[in-house]
Amino acid sequence: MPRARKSLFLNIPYDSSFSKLYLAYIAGVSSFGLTPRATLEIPGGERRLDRILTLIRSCAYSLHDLSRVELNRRPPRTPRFNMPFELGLAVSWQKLKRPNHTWFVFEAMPRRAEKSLSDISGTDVYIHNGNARGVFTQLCNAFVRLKSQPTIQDMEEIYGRLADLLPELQARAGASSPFEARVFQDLVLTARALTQR
Amino acid sequence: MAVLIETPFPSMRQVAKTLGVPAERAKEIERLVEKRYKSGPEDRVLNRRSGNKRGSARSRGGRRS
Repeated sequence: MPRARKSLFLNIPYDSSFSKLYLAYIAGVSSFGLTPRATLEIPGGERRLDRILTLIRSCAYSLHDLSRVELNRRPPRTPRFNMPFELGLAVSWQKLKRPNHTWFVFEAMPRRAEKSLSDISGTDVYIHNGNARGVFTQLCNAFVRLKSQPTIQDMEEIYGRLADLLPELQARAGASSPFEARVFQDLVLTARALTQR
Repeated sequence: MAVLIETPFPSMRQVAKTLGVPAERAKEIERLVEKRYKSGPEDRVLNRRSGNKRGSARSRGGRRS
């Protein structure tokens, strides 16, 4: 089975206010037997856009969280275009090259994505209400496994343990933030270890 | 519409390879998880996932030694 069938490109914001949902995505996606990938795991040296395209190409699925597209607080206040831009790259990849690539749009608020990005009208937008349980619920709406279908409770337990282990993983990596390459990789490995079957 | 996932769960080794990290680091993480949770009374996820059908001593009506 090609490796890509088991990987999911996670297109999310990397900021402290998103750290709970970041853990929730890693826990939830891993519970479905998929390996989350993210741009932050790849070392520098390559052009960022090339890295993003390489990652999208290597994944069967991509999940784009548009819940933090609002203006950021630091002056000059600017909207955050990265997530919708990467969604556009994934859509192009699917439409022009790889029809099997499946992309999902997640949001915190109903109808906001359709307002801010009307080009996606007609697309199912998965509303997670900005909390971990909402992410798990919507992942269950997006994915189904015939065997070993994870429950919300399974995902919550894994999420709780990731949160529990995060300080240790950060300490081992000498990292001050969970959004660092080594911490992300260790979180994905930890989530997999917790879902051993 | 939900996407059906039929691929088996990847092994720790496969996940490490996908992420481009050494297999030894995956083993370290496995050891960390085992050490932290394997013997814990609340270890429901790991036991269930590893096919432990017996459950804990407490759930079988016994006492934990």
